[in-house]
Amino acid sequence: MYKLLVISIDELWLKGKNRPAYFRAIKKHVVDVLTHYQDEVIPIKNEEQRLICTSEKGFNQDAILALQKVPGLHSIQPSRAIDLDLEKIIDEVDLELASMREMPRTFKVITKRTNKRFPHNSMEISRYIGHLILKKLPQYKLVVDVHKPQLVVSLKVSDQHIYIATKTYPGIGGQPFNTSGHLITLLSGGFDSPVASFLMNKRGCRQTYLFFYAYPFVGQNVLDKILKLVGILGQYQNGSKLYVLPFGEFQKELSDHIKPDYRTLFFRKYMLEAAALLKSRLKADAIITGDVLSQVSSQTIGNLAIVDQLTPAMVLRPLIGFNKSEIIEISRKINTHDISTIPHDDACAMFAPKHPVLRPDPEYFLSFAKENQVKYEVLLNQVLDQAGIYQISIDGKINQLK
Amino acid sequence: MIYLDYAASSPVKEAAIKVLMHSTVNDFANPSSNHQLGLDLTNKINLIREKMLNLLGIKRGYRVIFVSSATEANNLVIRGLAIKKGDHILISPTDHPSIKVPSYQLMREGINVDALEHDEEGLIDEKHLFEKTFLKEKLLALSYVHNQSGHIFQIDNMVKKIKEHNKNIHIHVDGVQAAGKININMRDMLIDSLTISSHKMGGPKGIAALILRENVDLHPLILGGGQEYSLRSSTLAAPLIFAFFAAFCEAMEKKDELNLKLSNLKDYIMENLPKQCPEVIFPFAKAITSHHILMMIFPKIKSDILIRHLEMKKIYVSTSSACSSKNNKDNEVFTHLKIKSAYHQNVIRLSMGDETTLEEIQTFINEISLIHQDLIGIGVR
Ligand SMILES: Cc1ncc(COP(=O)(O)O)c(C=O)c1O
Repeated sequence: MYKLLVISIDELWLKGKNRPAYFRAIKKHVVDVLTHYQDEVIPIKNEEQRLICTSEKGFNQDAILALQKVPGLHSIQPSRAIDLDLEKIIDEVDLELASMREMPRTFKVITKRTNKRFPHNSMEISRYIGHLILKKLPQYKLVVDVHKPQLVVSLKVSDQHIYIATKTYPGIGGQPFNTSGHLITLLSGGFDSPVASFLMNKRGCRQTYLFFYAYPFVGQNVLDKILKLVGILGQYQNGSKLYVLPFGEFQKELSDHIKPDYRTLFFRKYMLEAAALLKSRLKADAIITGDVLSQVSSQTIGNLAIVDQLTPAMVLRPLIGFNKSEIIEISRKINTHDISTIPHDDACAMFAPKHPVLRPDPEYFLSFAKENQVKYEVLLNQVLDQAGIYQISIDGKINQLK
Repeated sequence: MIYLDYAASSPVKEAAIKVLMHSTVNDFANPSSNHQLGLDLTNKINLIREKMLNLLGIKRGYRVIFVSSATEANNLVIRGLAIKKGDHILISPTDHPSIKVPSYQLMREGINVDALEHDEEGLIDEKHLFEKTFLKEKLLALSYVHNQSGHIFQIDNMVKKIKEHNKNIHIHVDGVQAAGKININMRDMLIDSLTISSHKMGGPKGIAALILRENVDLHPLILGGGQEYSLRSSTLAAPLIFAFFAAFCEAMEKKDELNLKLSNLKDYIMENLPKQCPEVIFPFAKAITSHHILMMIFPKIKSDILIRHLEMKKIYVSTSSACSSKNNKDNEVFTHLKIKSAYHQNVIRLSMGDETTLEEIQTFINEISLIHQDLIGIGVR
């Protein structure tokens, strides 16, 4: 097992004055992940745009997989460190190769040098070490391939060490957790909302998940699905919460008072309003939904626009321009796909009119909302008071708080 | 709370609780120990075996094998009989999974599993049954009372006719929903094995019995110390057996009284529910079903939505068998009971027992009618 991880940070060049705060945020997240998975104190050192982590016990695979989910990381490399002496590299490469289960046939060397006083530049180092590997390690029968090598020997020359790695785990990149605001994420059991949530993870948002549970119209199976989903999504966060709002009675009450073909539209309106109320209660910044333009009738531009007119909060729709196939592809990558495909009861479909409005009459919609503003705000606040609350830990374990 | 799911499991009877508590404290010894404590327990258990046989009208020729559940009893027969590759067995597609699933396992091992057919009323098609059983079948599994529809299958007549023609067939009967409710004829000694379960008649869970003819050879599922005639090794759970027996005694004693009450309650529902909820359908006639089970269909509203609304009012009924209500597919059991496929998601099973009262039934009728009307009103689909 490797005792050293070299973590490269993404998008660091974008930060000017904020750099220290940015670094602190990312370091805290890395420390929390490693403490959780390694069960030991992990010293972490900053070196330029990298974090160097050392473990007494050696880093386990779970820790590395968890780091791949930490927003803001460009890559994670289990590495070996030596002094600033090029001649020592070859022995380390030998050790790396000897421990490989499957032998690569082609390789190349990539060098990054942050130590500008080191007497050789990156190109020279790469060429020299490539040459040494061919000459001193002929038993591995490697040949150079600069275009599509099976093995990349990565060298990082810093002020005090040279780091050698043969394996690179890509991170999800983007911005560190909790540096771009706190969002209320609307989740359903489908494909879209988990993907929307994932995308905003990459942008460094802290998220509180919100699920509208239409019990007794839908059963426990939907909630089970949501818990599974937040178990996955929560691993990109450093501690998050899920609010489960009892929404069945509200939907029923609303249905009794509106034109049937406006049901879906009003459900959306009041879901967003509930999200906005929760946003205020938690002093959060905005709302995320998984809306995709024109995917279903309630997502026509007219419907989205008229609902937005009445929503007292900013609504982020990271999937608005995505195609379904693109969304599904991401859902497979983040492992929410197989959960999203589990069949579940859908309250909106249950209440759905045969012919939902495509071009809502703004007068009816707006005047109903205005006339009933107080009544439904009271009801929604009651619903929020009755919310079930779940804590999701850094490893995706879920614990019901209320 | 209004509990109308007795067929899934019944509240434990006072008498059984008393026995269980007392015996758990006092009868801690191992019945197989050969000191006095163990011997006393063994004697007591053996006495209970005899009394249980008596309760079933059996004079001689059968053994009581205590097992952990009806599922285990059914498995013990189906997996334990000497059935060879190429042999035929006959079961009903409406049987409980504890019969069907082990039969499917036999099928994978090269045994032919044939299916009984049911007629338009959901009853067993006797003509087809006789054609099959007169020939080659080694095992026939039947249920006395169907756990979801409440059908009382005409076991006694069928069994007589079958055995006249085919003496060697093993007839296994699942009597879980029948014991303590209707008469089970074991006197004629035509049934080779019978499953009964404690928790369906007001006893504790974790205990059931297989009533098995003496000359039948079975391979045990569980090997060990050789208890239960070597058919089911494990330390006997004396307190569970005693409590099971207490519940069984009371059930048999009060059987007629209970049936009269349940019959009246059933009449009451079938008469009054349609007045408030005209949409309801009772797919099976009262005359062919056990009084404790009533199946109903609400064609316009999905049954799981209904039961969740009822559960909010603390009224508990089932959508299908509690054991299979997790599976959401087209229901094989319903298909063979001849329930239209369009209704499979609309079936509710109500099952009653000794603590069920007329008031509870009235409340149930009122509540489900209101809920139903409400849901239709808002057009939930
Ligand atoms: C007819 C029948 N057989 C067998 C069983 C299985 O009983 P258990 O789950 O207690 O083993 C049941 C329970 O629903 C049943 O109704």
